[in-house]
Amino acid sequence: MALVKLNNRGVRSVSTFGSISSLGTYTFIKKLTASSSATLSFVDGSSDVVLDDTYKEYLFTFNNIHAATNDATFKFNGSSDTGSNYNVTKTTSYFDAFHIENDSQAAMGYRVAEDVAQGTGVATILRNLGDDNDQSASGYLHLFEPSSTTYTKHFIGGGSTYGSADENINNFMAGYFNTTSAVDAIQFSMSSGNIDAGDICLYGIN
Amino acid sequence: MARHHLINGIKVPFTAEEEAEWDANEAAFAEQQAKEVKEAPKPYVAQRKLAYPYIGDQLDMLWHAIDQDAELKGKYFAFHQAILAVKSKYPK
Repeated sequence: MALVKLNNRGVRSVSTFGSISSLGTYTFIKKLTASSSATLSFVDGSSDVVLDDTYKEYLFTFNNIHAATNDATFKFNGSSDTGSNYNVTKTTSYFDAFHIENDSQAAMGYRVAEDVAQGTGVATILRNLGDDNDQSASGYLHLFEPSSTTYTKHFIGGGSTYGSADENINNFMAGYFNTTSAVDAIQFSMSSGNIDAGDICLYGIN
Repeated sequence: MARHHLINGIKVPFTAEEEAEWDANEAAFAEQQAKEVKEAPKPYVAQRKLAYPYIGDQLDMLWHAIDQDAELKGKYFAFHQAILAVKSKYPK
């Protein structure tokens, strides 16, 4: 096969491009905007929200989550009954690095206070948000094949917090819903107080 | 102010039970915060943690100190010999 060198002149002369097929898809599903909301929930089956076997992976993005209460922590939980109860058993791990603005401290470490061992309560994604007007946290949560009835459901989350101690916190968490029932709803909340503002978007990935 | 859930973009007001549960949670959080302010972490703890030599280097310094002292060599014989065996097997 001849080797064709592609340059500016070559591109200008092209009359037809070949097509690229079999790429994956990354589909926007839903955006929720907090407005002094206690919880933000994505529930499969209504208002254009899908959280089923339509996609093998789901991605939630958090854009400038602002806590109403200083030092509150951003958390989530799952439901296996379309949002009637958010109490799916889970095991998670969590570590972070932080760096204080005045450069007085910087460290990283595992946080036992933020993990869950076979608990049904909420799990930490982004810890200790400041509530000043310019403070917020942004990040993500990947949820893998929530509809599986064979495997547990893995998730990986993290992001950047402008912390209550005027620091950057680089959050890392992962875990799994320890159930072989489908997880069909996800709820986000703070450890205390409302989610004052911020967007959460849901995407489906195939 | 009454709280609400935002479910798929639709506002759903809290029930009275949920309001009571969240009131209690917020009170407990405020109490915990007040306690943490009283027990504020000491900055030198993190500063020292970052400044200390790596644990391996600390152990190496300890081994050399023992190696230079006959009494300590006898006292910490197993530790000294275990490290010495590795040093002998892989000389400089």
